[in-house]
Amino acid sequence: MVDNSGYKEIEIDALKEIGSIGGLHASTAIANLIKKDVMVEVSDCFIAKAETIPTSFGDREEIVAGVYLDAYSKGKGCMMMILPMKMAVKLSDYMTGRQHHEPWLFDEEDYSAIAEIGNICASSYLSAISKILDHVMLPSPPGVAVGMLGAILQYPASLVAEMSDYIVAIRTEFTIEDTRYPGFILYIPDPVSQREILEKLGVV
Amino acid sequence: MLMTDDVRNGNGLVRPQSNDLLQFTPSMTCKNEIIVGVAEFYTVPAPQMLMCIGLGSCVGIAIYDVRAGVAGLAHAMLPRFDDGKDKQNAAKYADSVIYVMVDELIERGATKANLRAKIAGGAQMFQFISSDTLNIGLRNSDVAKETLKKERIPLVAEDVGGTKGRTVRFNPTDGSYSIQIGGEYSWI
Repeated sequence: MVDNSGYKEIEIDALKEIGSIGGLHASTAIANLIKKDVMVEVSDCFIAKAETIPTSFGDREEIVAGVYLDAYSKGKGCMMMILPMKMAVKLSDYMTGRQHHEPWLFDEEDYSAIAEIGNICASSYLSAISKILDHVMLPSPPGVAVGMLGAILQYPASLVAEMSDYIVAIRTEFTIEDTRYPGFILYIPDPVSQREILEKLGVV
Repeated sequence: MLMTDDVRNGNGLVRPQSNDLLQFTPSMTCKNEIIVGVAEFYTVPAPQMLMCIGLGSCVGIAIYDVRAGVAGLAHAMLPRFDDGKDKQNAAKYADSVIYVMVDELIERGATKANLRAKIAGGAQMFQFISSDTLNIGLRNSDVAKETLKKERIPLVAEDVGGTKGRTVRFNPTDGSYSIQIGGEYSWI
């Protein structure tokens, strides 16, 4: 993002670091669960107006599986996991020991498997951050949706837009062994946690 | 058309490639759709199509006057202007965008009494939320309907709620609103 809207370079780096720490814990958790390698990319940090969220993270018409969780700490942030359909089905297969074939139909069992993966991811992500912040952070029960990426991301966008003008979204991309397209974890910290993160890392 | 006719009539006088043909193409093919992004709205004259991609909890409000041949489509993200943080963009809220859009439509030559409205969107994408206070989709569509009633614009048709995202296209020529959910198309 060119427009940093008042954030210093070092603050953005600190937020990226949070994404990397959380993302790595989350990916370790998935890797232990499915016994496959999980590769994590370097995190990005987006600072933008809330209405740009739905279009900022790829083709908005692509069908994806999304898991949404509230991140409770002193404020209420958002936590999302977005998976391309094929990756979602693969993850669910590894977890439940089933085998999907060509039409890649997504059924009830897959929904709850993906919800669980999202829950495990978010819990380990947040517990990693909570160790830095020295207080408890907890995710809410997960909600799963399958649909257009733009439509799914509108939900966190409108929740965040109610709270503040500008949002900070920390994205960590990851891939599992045999899928080419990455899924990603998105953490949108609330302003209170954001400040706390920056204070704890000593950049403010 | 003009060119082939001239040739067929044996004039031998092929018209120079003037603008005659060119100015027909956009209205005949209607290929150029304006894509209305999140928290935006557009008003256009008749042959121009309008489109919203990926309406989730957002609501797509179309207001049109077929006789004057103008229409507007809004992609509103939040229910009320008064409750919102960002006061710079009226197009973000389902109530304020209707006021702004109606003004702009009237500026473009629409008559207030002839305005009609159709809305789509307001889905609840995520299944887990049971309380209505958090259901932004429902609140968006409710506020849009309420505001239309207040403005005395008849709501001709609606397709709101559900759990799936929609892609919508509005055609100001006849006021048809095509809605695509997954691979299925419907018209209201």
